[in-house]
Amino acid sequence: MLFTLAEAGKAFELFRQPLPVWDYWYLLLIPLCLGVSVVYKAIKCREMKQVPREAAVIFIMILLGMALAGAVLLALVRVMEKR
Amino acid sequence: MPPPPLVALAGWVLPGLGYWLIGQRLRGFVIGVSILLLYLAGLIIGGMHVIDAPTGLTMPLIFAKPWFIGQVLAGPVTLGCSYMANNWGTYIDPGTLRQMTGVALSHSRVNEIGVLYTAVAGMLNLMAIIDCSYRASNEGAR
Repeated sequence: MLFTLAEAGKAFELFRQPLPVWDYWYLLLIPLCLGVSVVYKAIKCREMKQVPREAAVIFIMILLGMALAGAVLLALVRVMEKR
Repeated sequence: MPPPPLVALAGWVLPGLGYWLIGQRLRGFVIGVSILLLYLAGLIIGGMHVIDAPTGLTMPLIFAKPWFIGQVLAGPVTLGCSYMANNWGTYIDPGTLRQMTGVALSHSRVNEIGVLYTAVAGMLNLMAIIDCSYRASNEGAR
């Protein structure tokens, strides 16, 4: 049986049902990267006032790195498909 | 300065509390809130049953659910969530069509991402525990 996103949203119960984000799961990596960046830099930085800037830099670097890795792997798959 | 084992234990009981005990309150607040938000996000994304505890304490049973090792590092909240996942309400099991006690297990990407969020939160807390107990043994310095 197929459900629309709106129907799945109506069935959602906090903590009892998963969030209906099957089509957008990859966007959930963004807050995860943000959390990792903030905690990592809050541990690493000597002064807490350095944390926002340092965390923003590493957050962007992680996202760009993942996008680059995704693009390289996609290109590799396309090349392998042509062979 | 409290002894490092006490600081480490406090950091496990409540993320960020170890830093609070050694006087680094802003650092403790930022780390604690970030870790708990990641953990909460994991529970919201995948449902309570992303916390899937081993059914026993033997090595094969523990290694059958390796993500739980990361999740339990986030603190006793994981043990509470595991209890809730198995005892909170009822659901109909789609395989057997029987009424089961607890929260249904989610599947696919949402389950994987919920597990990832909670396990990463636990592993970040391990880094914080090691750092705050090291700072406690070195009078707050890195």
